Amino acid sequence: MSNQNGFVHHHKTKSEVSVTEDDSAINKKLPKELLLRIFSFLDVVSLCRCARVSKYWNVLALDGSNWQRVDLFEFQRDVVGPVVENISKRCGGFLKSLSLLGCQSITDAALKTFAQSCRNIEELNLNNCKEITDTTCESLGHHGHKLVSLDISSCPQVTNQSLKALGDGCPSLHVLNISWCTKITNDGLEALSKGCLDLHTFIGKGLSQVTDAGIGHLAKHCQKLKKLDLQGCSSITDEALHRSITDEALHRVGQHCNQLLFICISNCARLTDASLVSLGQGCPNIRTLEAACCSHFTDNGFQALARNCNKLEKMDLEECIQITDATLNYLANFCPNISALTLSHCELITDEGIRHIGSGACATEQLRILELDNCPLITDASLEHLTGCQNLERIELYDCQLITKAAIRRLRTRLPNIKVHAYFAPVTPPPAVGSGRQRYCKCCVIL
Amino acid sequence: MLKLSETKKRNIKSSEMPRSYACDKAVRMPMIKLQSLEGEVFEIDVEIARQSVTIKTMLEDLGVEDDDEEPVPLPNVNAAILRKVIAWCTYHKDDPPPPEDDENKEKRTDDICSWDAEFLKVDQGTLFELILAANYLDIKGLLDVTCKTVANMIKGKSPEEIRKTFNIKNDFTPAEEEQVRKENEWCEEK
Repeated sequence: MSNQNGFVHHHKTKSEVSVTEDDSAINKKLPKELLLRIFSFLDVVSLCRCARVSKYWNVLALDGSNWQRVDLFEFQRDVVGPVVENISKRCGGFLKSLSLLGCQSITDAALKTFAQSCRNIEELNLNNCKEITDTTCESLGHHGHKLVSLDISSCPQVTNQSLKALGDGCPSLHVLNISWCTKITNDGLEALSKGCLDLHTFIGKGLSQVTDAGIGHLAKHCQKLKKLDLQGCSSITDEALHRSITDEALHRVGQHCNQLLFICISNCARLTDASLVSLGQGCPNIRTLEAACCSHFTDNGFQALARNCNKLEKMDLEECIQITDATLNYLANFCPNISALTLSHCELITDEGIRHIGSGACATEQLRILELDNCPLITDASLEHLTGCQNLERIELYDCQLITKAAIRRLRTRLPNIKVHAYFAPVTPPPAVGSGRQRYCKCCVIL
Repeated sequence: MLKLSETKKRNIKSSEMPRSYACDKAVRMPMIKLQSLEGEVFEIDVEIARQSVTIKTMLEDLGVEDDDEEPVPLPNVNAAILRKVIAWCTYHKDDPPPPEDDENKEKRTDDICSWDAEFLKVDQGTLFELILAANYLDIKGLLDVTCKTVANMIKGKSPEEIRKTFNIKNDFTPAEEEQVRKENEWCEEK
């Protein structure tokens, strides 16, 4: 592959390079394509050094084939505009993937040069490039029609204008991350989703101004959605009032997005069981549900979900404080593939619920991770119920004050590979007037 | 009973021979003969030889039969190198087939197994000949590990050290060298 982007030093072209004068075996014996194959294993630093070795190696090192994927994460401290422009001109149409993650001083101007020079870009990571504004996405919309994956999370100056530009100019967009771009509103999502019909991954954490209407647009137009992350889509200014996403949004998702595999609604605290019903009805393929801090969810909602979503594998239900053993019973009956289950702070869970899980279809081979920290009613009996879970890798038991060390030891005998995370305060001496069994708690106070 | 000369003409595989005749021969794997540049002939197990896509293609497309008396000529490979290639292929004969080249996969060079590392402790000339042979014979595993070995000889070195390692002449003028240094210094740690 030759360097086709017209990047030529004034003092050398390929025809001027005389290989025959070179004494080195490597240059005499190996043809260009094998040298390029060796170079294909080199990192950016090594390539830049090779470019300084000789005229011939300069041409080889700068060959476009070596610059299809560039990751500048290691250099983020030093990466400034001219560097990006230099790389853009060097790689030209060969560059397909670029990561500027954390390069906080990159500006729109550098990215405009980049967009103009590297029109075949497919994957671009601009996470935390805090200086960029809508101008960057406008440049991408003009020149980057092959863009497939874009991450502009934590770029606080981005507005709806960016989403409009992407919707207009990047029809092949499959993956978009606009987490923490807090200026985005429903209009932006509408413009985006109408243009990017093939979107299958949308990550939008912390979009505090987006409401049900915006999610509705997304669901209606992007029916191929497989991964949807709406964590914390609630206003951070007024927790009591403006928790923006409600059941209506999830109703729309259930209506349109039947290919959904992953959904995160953690910290969308206004949602109720109706959302779980919508998901159960419309999204039977869900594998992962993250619903931490959805404190209105009850057993009824999970019954509806579990009945229909039999492929569930991972569930984060931390602080779904209303759920009881009944939910665990439903999961045990309907979801044979559960491999990771987080029930932290689900304070109503008892040993009975764990007995259901331990005897459910997922128990023997599927269950790998179980988080029961801060479930105060759990006793040693729960650990007994789990002894048949041959593939259990990790269990969290912090602040399960009724669990004893002996029970954990017994569990470890049955499951030798398991990691048990628990904390036992060091022994403090008994009071002078001793009576009854000592109990330990995290603050080292004798109860 | 078939005469030996007749079986040769008809190129019957040993497995197809009449039972009485087959029992007279020691049971053996199908073999293939490879001939180096100098004319030296190496007889090896066909399954080992098939790690070379070039040879494999010849066997399939051109109907070159195993048990053929005619050796396959490999005029681009000398005997010493061919011997080493055969040794590598023999050691790796049970390896799973290498995956297709994925452009998007990160290319590592720290995953060379210790046998290969030992095997490739050779002078540069031999190493480059192995690369050429692996390329000509289309043996991806050997080509990858030899190229990675050279890449590891480049990594971590300054331009001058690279020149010394491979005996490359610096043909930049001082002004050119300075310009090239400026263009490429952005990635160096300050």
